Amino acid sequence: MNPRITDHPAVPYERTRRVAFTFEGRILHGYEGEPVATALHAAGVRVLSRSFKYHRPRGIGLTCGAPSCPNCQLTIDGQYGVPGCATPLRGGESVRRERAWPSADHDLFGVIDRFSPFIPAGFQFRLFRRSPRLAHLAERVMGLIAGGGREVTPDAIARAARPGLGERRTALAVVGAGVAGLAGALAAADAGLEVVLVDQGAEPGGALRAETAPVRTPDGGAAPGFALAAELAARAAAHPAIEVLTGSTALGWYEGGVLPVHTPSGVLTLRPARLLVATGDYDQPLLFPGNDRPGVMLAGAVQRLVNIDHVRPGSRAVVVTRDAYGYAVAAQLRAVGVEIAALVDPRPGERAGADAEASFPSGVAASGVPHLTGHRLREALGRRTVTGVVVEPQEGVDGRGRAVRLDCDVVVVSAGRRPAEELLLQRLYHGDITLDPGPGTALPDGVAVAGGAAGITDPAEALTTGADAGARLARWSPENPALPEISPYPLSPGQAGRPSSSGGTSE
Amino acid sequence: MAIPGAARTPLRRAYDVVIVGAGVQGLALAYELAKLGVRDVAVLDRGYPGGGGSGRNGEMIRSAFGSPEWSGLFDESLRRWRTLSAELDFNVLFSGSGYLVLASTPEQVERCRADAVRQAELGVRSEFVTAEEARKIAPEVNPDLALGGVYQEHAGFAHHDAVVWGYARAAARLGVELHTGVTVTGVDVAGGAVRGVRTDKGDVSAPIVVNAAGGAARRVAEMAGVALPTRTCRLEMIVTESVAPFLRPALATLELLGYCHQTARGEFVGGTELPVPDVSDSLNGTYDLLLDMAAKFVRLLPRLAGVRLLRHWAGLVDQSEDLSPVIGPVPEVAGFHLTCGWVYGFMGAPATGALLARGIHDGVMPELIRPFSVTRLHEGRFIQEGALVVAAEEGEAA
Ligand SMILES: Cc1cc2nc3c(=O)[nH]c(=O)nc-3n(C[C@H](O)[C@H](O)[C@H](O)COP(=O)(O)OP(=O)(O)OC[C@H]3O[C@@H](n4cnc5c(N)ncnc54)[C@H](O)[C@@H]3O)c2cc1C
Ligand code: FES
Repeated sequence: MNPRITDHPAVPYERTRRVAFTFEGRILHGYEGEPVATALHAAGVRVLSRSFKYHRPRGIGLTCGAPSCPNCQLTIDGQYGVPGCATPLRGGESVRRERAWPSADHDLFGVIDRFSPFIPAGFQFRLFRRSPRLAHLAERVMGLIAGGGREVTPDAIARAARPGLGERRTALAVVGAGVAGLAGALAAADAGLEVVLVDQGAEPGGALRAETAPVRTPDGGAAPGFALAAELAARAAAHPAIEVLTGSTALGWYEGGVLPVHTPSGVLTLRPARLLVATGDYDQPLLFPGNDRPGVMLAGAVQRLVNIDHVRPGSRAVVVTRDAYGYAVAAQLRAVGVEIAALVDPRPGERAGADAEASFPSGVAASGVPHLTGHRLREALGRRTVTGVVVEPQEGVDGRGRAVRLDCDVVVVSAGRRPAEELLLQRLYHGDITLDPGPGTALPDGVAVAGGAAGITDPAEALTTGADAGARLARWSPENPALPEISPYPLSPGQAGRPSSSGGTSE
Repeated sequence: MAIPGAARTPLRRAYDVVIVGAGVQGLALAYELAKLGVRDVAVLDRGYPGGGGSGRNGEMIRSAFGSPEWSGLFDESLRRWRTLSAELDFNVLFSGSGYLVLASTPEQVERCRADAVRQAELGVRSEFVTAEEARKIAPEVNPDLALGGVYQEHAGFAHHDAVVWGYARAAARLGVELHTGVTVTGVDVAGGAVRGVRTDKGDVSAPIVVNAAGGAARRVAEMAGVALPTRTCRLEMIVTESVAPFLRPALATLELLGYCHQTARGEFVGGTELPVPDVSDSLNGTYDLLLDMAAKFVRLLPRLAGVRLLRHWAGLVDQSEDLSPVIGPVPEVAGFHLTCGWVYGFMGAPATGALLARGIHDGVMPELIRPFSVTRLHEGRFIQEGALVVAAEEGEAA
């Protein structure tokens, strides 16, 4: 099956220019502006990299969106460690994979993985502990494999030497231009604040850009997610009080309220008087043997591939889910012609059925897709890429039946989300190291969190919390700090401490 | 995830020895006590082992210092570092690939020359190196900053997490109980002697309590009514992505107040300080220092231009007036012991753990740690150590 979707039923698409690039000596083609990793996937390249220690093959979508995802890092025009999922294809570039010799497809160091039962995690702490000489030698060999060949390009040096963009004060910085961030920026700007809206993506809209399902809007209507994202993004772009910085990463949030932002033209040092953290969330992976085989993908990654890039992840998918989102993505995959080999849900029939309803209104059974409730994934099969899975009844749930083997070339995992709350934790993790902070952590003055970063997974609710946070921040002022913010959601346990007394924002 | 070496049994109400703080100091001491047969030992930590300075430091190890006190203690430590993996049955990834202190001005060159002479007198193996020799040892160093230095060929660095885990597991094997998530909130003192500690998980009695609380040591001493003349300072570090090997030895520069090395994986690890100590108990990294570190290290090692940062963090140390550690018993509170005031407490741990354990066991502090008693600070008998790369009082490198 051609992985390119030419007749998407839900999202209109205009193909960009077809361009050529070289990939390890071969000439491949892709479409200008699509992520390099997508172009490789569409061209049939399933192995994007090798894992650091055991040299296991890794593919697209495995850890998509995770902070500094290591699995799609490519060498592009000599620059190593370029994130393939986040780098648009220009045409003419030279792309190579890393950490493998002679190539990531046939990596000789891959034998390390065959011996992995004998090389448990942390093996380096057991090796050569009685012979310092050997330990020293091993260390130097390791250095050659690890950092070997990684030389900085003249381009990177020139980029690093650029002068910064200087300092800028602003009434509000919103980090994350997903639905919550856009709604927050618009609400605050409408209330009179000057806003800088920062997003690392090439376009604003966040996760909602990939959503085709309808989302409730505050006026009581509903719109497909991507259309709503586009509308909010257009309103933000047109708003005179909002400056949108795309392709821009907030590097951190430092003492004194400094928020350096890495933009395409250099580092801008923002000093916002208020901060809205709307950084979204990450898909959680599932634990099972073979869960890192190329072909195992997170639901959000699959949704982006299908609905934004118009590329099918494969031809036959097993979807493993424990929430409504997994069913939605399954339905969207089916709509573009990917066969669903089975829907696997560890929960009992009734609960699984309720979540399936929105995406399969007449029931999954009626659609002809096998629905294995009370089942879990035992393992993914296949050496280089996924060729199938083994599914078995979940103990103590529907307790009947036995393990079954299903052929597939894609495994879609929807196992819940984790808030992208690093910016908050960077400042809250302070002084005492507490293992268990408990909910209701007080945020520093002038700071709010909304949407996925606050643990909200429903887009309509993310929109309302975003708008609400923007409006509240507009009412707050350093001179009149009458509205202390309490995070209504528990932050990740084990990380937050007490809030900083040494200054939240710049004033 | 299971914490290596953590006790699986509940916290008991009484021990022979309670150690406050599961950093490298507390854990090394616990291990050495157990080796001497003192096994009814509890190490209490409010966070996780290595969550303090011990998991946040620059991993640098040397013994080439300028005073007899430092040279004696740290040379003993360096000797132990070289066999620590075998001792703990755990590869702590000690790398004896050399330690070069760089001089960048004629005055610093003279200082290094004098230090090397003094070290030779004190029996410490080190050598003065010329500009040319320094460049041979670390060819990627900016020649403007390498006018000479002191080189210790057998010193280097080790993996700080591995050291913490190694000690914790070895101590646990000998019966030491490591309890994490336990905050010490008070120290019980009666009749001029320590009786135990109060914690958020209940009271624990012990005739011997050791304060190894790192950046919080002053607060823990206060709980026993002891005023430590130290203060909590913040230090920061960066780590870059992994790049081809280019730097073999550990490097410290007097000029930039910086220290760094490259790990076996290829990451460059280093920290700098501003000339004035950063008195703070915050664990937040600061943007000012991030910029300072980036700029200084690119100046020191021009190869680093364009290399991306992976991580940046802050850690706390307990700094005494003479920047030297405070080790041993507290005269006015019998049974209450200190191992704090550490700015180089990682490299100093193997020797200090062993010597302090011996002192607690025998009731007499061994010669090598006796000069570091808290009494010296109260009496103003400061240790004159001039070969440190630490921000000192009046905006001067000590
Ligand atoms: C950035 C940085 C770089 C450094 N570089 C080097 C270097 O290159 N070489 C070197 O030798 N040294 C270096 N140091 C110094 C070194 O890290 C410290 O001196 C050393 O780790 C101190 O160890 P410790 O066990 O005494 O304290 P810590 O490791 O700080 O441990 C103290 C422990 O006590 C616990 N604690 C505190 N209060 C309580 C309480 N009330 N109840 C229960 N538990 C409590 C804490 O949770 C902590 O785990 C550096 C330090 C920093 C921060
Ligand atoms: S972001 Fe790395 S695989 Fe997609």
